[in-house]
Formats: sequence, structure tokens, C-alpha cells
Amino acid sequence: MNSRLRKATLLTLMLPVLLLVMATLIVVTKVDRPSALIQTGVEWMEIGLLALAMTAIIITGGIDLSVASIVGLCVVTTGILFDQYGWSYPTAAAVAMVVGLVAGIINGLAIVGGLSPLIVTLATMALYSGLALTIAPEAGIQMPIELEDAIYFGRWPAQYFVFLVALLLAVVLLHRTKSGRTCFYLGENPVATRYVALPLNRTLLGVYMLSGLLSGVVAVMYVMSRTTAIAVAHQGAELKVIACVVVGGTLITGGHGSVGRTLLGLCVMASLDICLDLMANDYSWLDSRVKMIVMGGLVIAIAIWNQRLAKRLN
Amino acid sequence: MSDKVFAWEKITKTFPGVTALQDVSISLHAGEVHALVGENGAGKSTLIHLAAGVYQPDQGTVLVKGASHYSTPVGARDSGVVTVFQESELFGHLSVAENIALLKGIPVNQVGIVNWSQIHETANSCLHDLPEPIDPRTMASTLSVAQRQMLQVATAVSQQAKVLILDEPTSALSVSETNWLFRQIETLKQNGAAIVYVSHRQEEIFQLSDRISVLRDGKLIWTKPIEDVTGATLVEAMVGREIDIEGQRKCQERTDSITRLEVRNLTDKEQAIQDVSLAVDSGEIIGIYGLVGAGRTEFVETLFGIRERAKGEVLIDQNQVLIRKPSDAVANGLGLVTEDRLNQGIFRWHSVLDNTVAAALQKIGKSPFTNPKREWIATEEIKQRLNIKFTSPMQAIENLSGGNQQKVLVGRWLLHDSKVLILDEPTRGVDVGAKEEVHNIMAELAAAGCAIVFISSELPEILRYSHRIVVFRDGQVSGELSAHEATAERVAGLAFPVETNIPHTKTAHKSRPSLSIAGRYITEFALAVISVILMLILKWKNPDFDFSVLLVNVIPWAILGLAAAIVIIVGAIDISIGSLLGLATAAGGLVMTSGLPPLLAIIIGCCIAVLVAVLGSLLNAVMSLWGNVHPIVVTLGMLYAFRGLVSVLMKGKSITDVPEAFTWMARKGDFPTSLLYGTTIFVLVHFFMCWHRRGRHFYVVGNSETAASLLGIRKAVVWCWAFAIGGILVALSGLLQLATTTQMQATLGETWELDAIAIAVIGGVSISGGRGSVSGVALGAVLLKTLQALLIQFQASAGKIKLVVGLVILVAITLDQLSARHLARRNRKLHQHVRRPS
Repeated sequence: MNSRLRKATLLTLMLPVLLLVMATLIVVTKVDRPSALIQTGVEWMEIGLLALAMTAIIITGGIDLSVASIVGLCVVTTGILFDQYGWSYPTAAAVAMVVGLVAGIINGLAIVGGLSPLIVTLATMALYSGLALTIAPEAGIQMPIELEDAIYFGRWPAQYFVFLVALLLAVVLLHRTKSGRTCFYLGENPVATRYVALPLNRTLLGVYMLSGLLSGVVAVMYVMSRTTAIAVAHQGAELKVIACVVVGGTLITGGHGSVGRTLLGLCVMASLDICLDLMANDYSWLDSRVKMIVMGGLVIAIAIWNQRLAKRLN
Repeated sequence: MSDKVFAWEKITKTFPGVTALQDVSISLHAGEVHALVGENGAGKSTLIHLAAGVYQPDQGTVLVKGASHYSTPVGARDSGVVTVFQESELFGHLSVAENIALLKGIPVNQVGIVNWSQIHETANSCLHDLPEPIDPRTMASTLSVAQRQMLQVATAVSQQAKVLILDEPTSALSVSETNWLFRQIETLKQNGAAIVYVSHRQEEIFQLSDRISVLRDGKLIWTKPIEDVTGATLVEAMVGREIDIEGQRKCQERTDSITRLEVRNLTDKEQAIQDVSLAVDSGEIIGIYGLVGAGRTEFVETLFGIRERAKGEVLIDQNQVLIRKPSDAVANGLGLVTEDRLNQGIFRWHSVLDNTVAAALQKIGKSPFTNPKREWIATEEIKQRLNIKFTSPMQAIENLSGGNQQKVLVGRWLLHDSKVLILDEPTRGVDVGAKEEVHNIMAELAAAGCAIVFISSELPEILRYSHRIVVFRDGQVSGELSAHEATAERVAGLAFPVETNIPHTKTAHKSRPSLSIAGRYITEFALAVISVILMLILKWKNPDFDFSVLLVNVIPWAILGLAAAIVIIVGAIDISIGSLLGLATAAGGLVMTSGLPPLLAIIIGCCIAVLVAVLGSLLNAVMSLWGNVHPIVVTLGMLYAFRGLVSVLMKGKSITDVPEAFTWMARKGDFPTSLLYGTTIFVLVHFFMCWHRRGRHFYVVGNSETAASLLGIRKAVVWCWAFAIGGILVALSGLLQLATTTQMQATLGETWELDAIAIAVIGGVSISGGRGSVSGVALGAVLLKTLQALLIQFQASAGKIKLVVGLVILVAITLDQLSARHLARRNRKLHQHVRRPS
């Protein structure tokens, strides 16, 4: 990478890192029960898992709006198989992950067929969550409390470990394998990618499959730590997931980005979220509603910052 | 030959890595045809772009009538300088008539209402004397390349241009079409216009032009009257020396060799090439020569599996292979350096290393992992071998000169050990020095045993470097010459079209208008039929069903769908409209219930709602444009922000007790006022989109931003208008919703963007922009809401309804895609049939 490009990269990191440091400082000074943070972090670890697959998808120039709906569908599947059919939890969980995989394959096939990822996943977002709502009992399914104990390793829930493992895997997959490299080529110039005979369709299908599978994994852990299976689990999370990827500086139009950037984006979003929650204790006006405005504004501010910097340096 | 109408004065223009023009001065007289000749990359195209106002000179000026000059394409047009580019972009989803009007400036009155009858009149008068009639109502996307070129020439002629610049205008034309073009040029000439004529075809140049200017390597060699020029002096000036083929032949004599690639009777599905047969031995360079449009590139694309093959065999090393897609070709040892380096070759933002190893990922290491170290070594090796200049393998390829980029692309296939290398115009757009190097690399590779297919439209380099020359004409091989047989005259003789008048089958043309009209309203028709069927089922299921309730329900949704559609038509998307609707309604509703006198409250409330929605929507547009951020990202952020603002405003309560007079907006007694309200809005928006200048601009920008900017239509302005109107519609929809239900929860509008975008997509709006109609959106809303009502009748749960919505969107976009493919194929076939009756 030449020096100018490196400078641009560093500068784009500046604003998110600054925000992250500020937020973390505030969290550290304000928090009185650090153990409570572990609980809050669980949701963000799940978001992070989904964001890893989303990073690959966005790098190929696509998008997946249906992730949260797949999570909902898999959550309900697990609950029903366990509760109504009396399957053992591991079997139910395995089937749920397969359901997630299949949902991802359906997305992938439609997109490989030439349809716009945005519209396809918008449609399947409705489709999958409609399916989840249809098969789920209205009140949701209450799961036995023992499940929650099973997810803890010491003080830490499994989400943290799964995320760390997935993070390492994602770094290797995206930055150290040929398929990962193909994602970048694909996002930047699909025609040229076809001409150099890289497996275009297989790669596209692969990233959407991965997204479906990870949604299944998130669902299984969701059911365990919440001990409830509801169709609206993680509803609307696709927006947070995309926000993490974009805030990190991955280009929404594809071809440029990294897992490391998504990790940064996730940290920024999570620390801001926690920081604003803590500050709400001191400032009564800073409630969840204002938080939404602040978060929304920051997503845009960082995205604009990244883009304008990139433009100026070119 | 007295008065100068136009001049390029001492022009110098450089691009990164290349000096395109150096101190070039050419002037044009009234009533002359001035031919501009030179090899590819000599600077002709840069000169044309300068005249068209697309480029600005680094030094020197472009003078019109000795004085004024301009800096924009619109300025050029207003000064009477009209350029017909070789591959000019039309607005595919707009009619031919409107495309003509856009080129000339749309006729509008003081308030911006488009005069359609005048547009059609102009179009008819432009098109009436074409050799093959074009129906002005056809969609421009269905026109062939020849028709596009004729359309542009016809428009330019009718514009009374002072200076007309034609870039290779006959490359796609048949003989009768060329004759038509020459008649047009003659007419213009008599009217005192100056014509710049760029062509590779010598006999056309000698037939038409009064003076000739020759460019070579960005410099003007000379300008002479036609009487002083012969074919030989012209070629000498272009190439820079007399072509002494024998003396300069660079290709080595070959010793024993085997046939590497053999092609037998290759024909593609669209018959762009027919029965092409050729063979290449190892160590041999086969030159493929032909005019633009002769089928050279089509041949390569069919061979490489990019175009569908109809029949024919491909043998590699005497084994028959089946090539269905590019990866089959590469697996069988073929490598392709494409003609369009920027769009089909390089990965612009990636490093040199990434670009070099792209095709050889499997060769460098067998494992699924990449091997940075070996990739680095491989890149350095290619750098040494091909003498590529870059500072580090991690340097972005974008910063390399054209010649070095080309060498990287060749190196890509070297790493892959390709047995057969196809180079399509490898020296286009590279410097002279680099050209020489590319030639040498070719010769070296051949000496090393590679079979090379070398395609070029520059005769000298073909003659100099090939062992054998295959000439293409009209999609067929018109001859094959060995190196000693080949002379410039013989090759050119084989390449130029034979003077036969191709009979035109008028019947095929007649079927086109009907096709386009059917094509235009097919979406609406299908939507209406399906809606009626659904309504009938509804009626059968529940004979007491009140359709007025359904209609009242549809209207706010239809309006919201329209808001989504307008934003999509200009090429953007807004996923915050649901939240914006909530915000605008909350703001308006709060004012209405604040205790002001009812009438005042209603008026102020409505105004506030509209104002909030317009500002919010404009904020989306401005941030996206100014920050250069994709609208998805911006509206994603705003979705949060708007929702947060709604709950801040509502403070956890809900709005009730809106003034009674306000609810009359939706219904007064038994009369559904909302029908009236909705119809008015739809008629107004329809009128605006079809009849107003600004509304038409939405489609123009949505079709092609770049072509729009050439017409002086700014994307930023159009987007702001579209988002503002979208905002108004969002507010109107929200207010109607409030009037209908007489109350509002803080959750109003959440996830409504899904249904709104669904309505737009079902209504036939293309997600990539530029296509969609108001009536389609209205019918889309009717269909979706009828379906939902029907599902409710069948006691479907909310989940099932959502599921069906998803399915309907999927079906709608799949059908849309299939019909688009079908239409494209049908048009291409029709065109092939017209041009080449076999």
C-alpha cells in the first residue's frame, strides 16, 4: 500500500477510535457493577457474529436485510422442536442451524440468479419473519431455566467465546483464503472476476450461506440465554449489524473493507450504547429515545467522514 | 473557404501517465468536411471530447466563431457544436421521441410543462427520411447501435448545427444507411456547417472530405486539402514512416509446431458471428483484423464462453473441449486480455499484487489459503520478466500508466501458464514506448511456445507482428493470409464491406411498435387483472365485503408507496420513510391537539407535518450527496434518528381527539372523502411525472447519471426535488392515516418502509432506477392491500400476511427480470434478423 493510501486508512480510523476511547473512558468511570456489563455485552456479541458475515456480504457488493428474520425463524424452530416435539436441545439446535443455512441458501440462489440483493433480502426478511410468526405460539415458548446455566462458562456466557472464535475464523477466511480474496474482487469488478475464472456464483452463494448459518448459531444461543423462544427475537437487528460494518469503514458499495474494521465498528457501537445507557442515570433527558437519535446521527457522521476523507485523498 | 467557424487553438491535454495532445491547432471553415485521421490513441477522441465540452484543455483554447468558448457540454450545444460519439448513451427506459427532445432541449412553457405534441412532431420530422423508419414511441433500449447512431445524426441535422462532429459514424451502418448519412452531411455542408469526420475507412474519407488533418501520438502532423493527399501519403503520415513490412517484420520464423487451438464453425446464439473457423499453432501469432463491429470481439467472447454458443467446436491440443463459461476456458489453458481494460480487466483499487495473481490463485498454491509470500515473489518475477514499472507490489494499480496496467494484465496469464493467449486491442490507449514493449512481449511469448491470438484495428501492427492474418467482415472470416502474402491493400480489401445492398425486411420493423406499446402497459394490465381476480375471490368468500373500506385503506399506502417509488426512480432509496411518516404525523397531530381553535389547528398542523417531512427527506438527500454516502447508509441512520424523535415528541403517550373537521379528510358521514383526496394526489403526481420538466428529469437521472450530466441535468438538484416531493407525499399519507384512524400511537410507521418499497416494486418500479409509473404504483398498492384483505378474510395471522408479502415481492421481481431478459433477447433477434437475412 502506498503512503497516501495508508494515511487515508489511518485517518478514517481516527474518528471511530476517538469515539471508542471517549465512550470507554466514560463507561469505566461511571460503571459501578462491571459484572452487569457482561450481560449487556451478550446482545452485542450476537450482533457482532451477524456483522462478521455481513462484512463479507457487503464486500461482495451485496447486502442481507434478512439476518434478523432468520434469527427469529431459527429461534422459533428450536423452541418448537424442543418444547412441542420433545427433542433434545442439541438436536433441536442442530436442526435450527440447518434451517438458518437453508434460509441463507435461498437468499444466495436468488441473488446468484441475478436479482438485486437489496430487494431479495427485503422480501425474504418479510418471508422468514412471517414464517416465524406463523409457526410460533402467540405467547412465545418458555424454555427450562437449566438451559441458561448450560451457556455459562464461569462468569462468561458462550456468546463471548463463540464470537472470538468466529472473529479469528473470519479474519482467516476473508483475508487469508482464495474465497475471501474472491469476495473483494467480486465487489470491485464482477466482470473482471468472471474473466479470470474465479468461482463467482459459488462465492456469492457461500457468503449468504454463511450469514444464514451464523444467524442459526446466534438463535441457538439466544434461546439458551433468554430461556424464551419468540419470533421477534432480534427484530430490527439487521440495522445495527449493517451500522457496525459501515461505521468501521467498510464501503457499502463493495470491494473495500475488513473484519478488523467491523470489529472496530462493533466496539464503537457497543461502547456508545453502554455509555449512553450509563449516562442516562445522571442526565434524565438522555433516555433511550435520545439515544436512538444520537446513535443514528453518529452512524451517518462517521460514514460521511470516511467517504469525504477517501475522496479528498484521491 | 473564408470564415473560420471553429478552432482548436494550441491545445495541450495530459492525463495521468499520458500526454494525449500536444500543441494541436486545427481550424474549421464553414461548409467543409474536415477528416480527422490517426491510429488508435493518436488523440482524436480527446480532441472530440474537448470540442464537446466534456474535457477542458490544460493549455490552449477551443474557439467558436473566433471568440467565445465554453466549459460544459451544454455550452457546446448552445454554441451550435454537436457531437455524435461512437458509443453514445441513450436513456434506455425513455422513448425515442423523448431522447431526441433531450438532445435538443425539451420544449417547455414558462411553468415547465412539457409540450408532448411538439416533441412527437419534432421526432417525426427528424426520423421521417431514415432509410428504415423508427417509431418515435419505441423505448430507446430496443434500438440497435446503427439506429442509435442514425437517430443522433438525424437530431444533429435537424438542430441546424454549426459544427457537427461525427466519430466513426459508419462503423455499424449498412450500405444504404451510410448513403443516407452522406446525403445528410451534404445537406448540412450546403447550409454552411462545418463537419468533422473521424473514420478508419479511407475511401469514405476521400469521397467525403475537403481537408484532412492527421494526428499521431498526440501531435498534429499536417492539415492538407484533399487534392494534395494520396492513400500512401496518408498512411505514411499516420504511421510515421512508409510501411516497409518485410524490413520491419518482427515475428520470428517458426520451427516445428503443433496446433494448439482450433476453432471449427463457431456461431453464437445471436448470430453476431457465423461459422468462424481458424487454427493457431504453438509459437504462432495469429493477427485478427477487422473493422469495428466486424465480430472480432464477439468471436473472442464466444470462444471464451461469455456469449452463448449456437454451434461449432473448439479443440485445444487436438482434444475437443466444451466451453460454457469463462472458467471452462481458463481451465483449458485460454487467457484473455480484454479490450476494455478499465471495466473488464483491472481491479482499480486493488494492489498490483492482487491484480497480478487474480487468475493464478490456484497455480500459486493448491491449498484453499492464500500465500502472500509466494504471491509477492510471483509478482516481482512478472515485474522483472515484463519490465513493469511500479514501486511496490502493494501499490494501487490505479496509479500505474496504461501501458504498465496492460502489462500487469498480460502477466496475470503468464502466471497462469496459459497455452493460448488472446489479446484484444492490447495497445489501445497506451503510450508509444509501451506499445513497442507490448509487441515485444508478444513475440517473446510466442517464441516460448505460447499460441497468441492478437486482435487489433491497426493495420501496421497486425502486418508487422503476425505470422498469419485472419480478416473478419460482417461476423464471418472473409479471408486468411500468411505473412508473406499479406499487404495492407489485400488485408484492407478483405475487411471492407462488399458493396451489396442488403434488402431490409420491413415486416420485422412493423412488429416493433406494437411490441413496445404492449411492453409499456403489460405491468399495469397484469396488476389490474390479478387485483380483479383477488377482489372476486374476496366477494365470493364474503358477499357482504365493503369494498369502500378496502379502498379507503389502500389510499394512504398507495401514497406512501408513491413516495418510495419516486425516490427509487431517481436511483436512490429511502428506508427511513416509515419513521419519517411517524415523525411528520406526530408533529402535525400534536399541533392539532394542542388546544388551538380547530380550523387554525388543522391548517397549522398540516403545514407543520408537511414541513417536517420535507425537511427530513431533504436532509437525507443533502447528506447523501454532500457526504458522497450511499442513501441506504444515510437513511439507515436517519431511521434511528426519526424514530427517536417520534418517541421524544410523543413522550410515551398517544394522540387522540383530533378535531372532528380533520377527520372529514378521510370520511364525512358515509362519503369517503379520502378517495377524492387520494385521486387528486395521484392525478397531480402523474401529471408532474409525465408532463413537467422536473418530473421527466427524474427518469433521465435515474436512467443514466453520466448521460444526464452531459445534458446539463444535475443529479444533486434532481435528487433534492425527488426527496422533497417524496417528503410531501409521506406527510400527506401520514395525515390521511391520522384522519382515518383519528388517533396515533408512537409506533405509527414502524417497518412501513417494507410495504412501501414492496408496493413500488410490485408496481413495476425498477430498483436500479429510471423506470416506473404512477399508475403502476397505484395498482401495486391495490393488489397488495387486496391480497392482505383477502388473507384476513381467510383468518390468516399477521405472520402469514407478512409471509405472503415477502413471496409476492419475490414473484414480482422474478417476473420482472424474466420479462426484461425475454424482451432483450427478442429485440436482439429481431435486429439480427433485419440486418442479416440469411
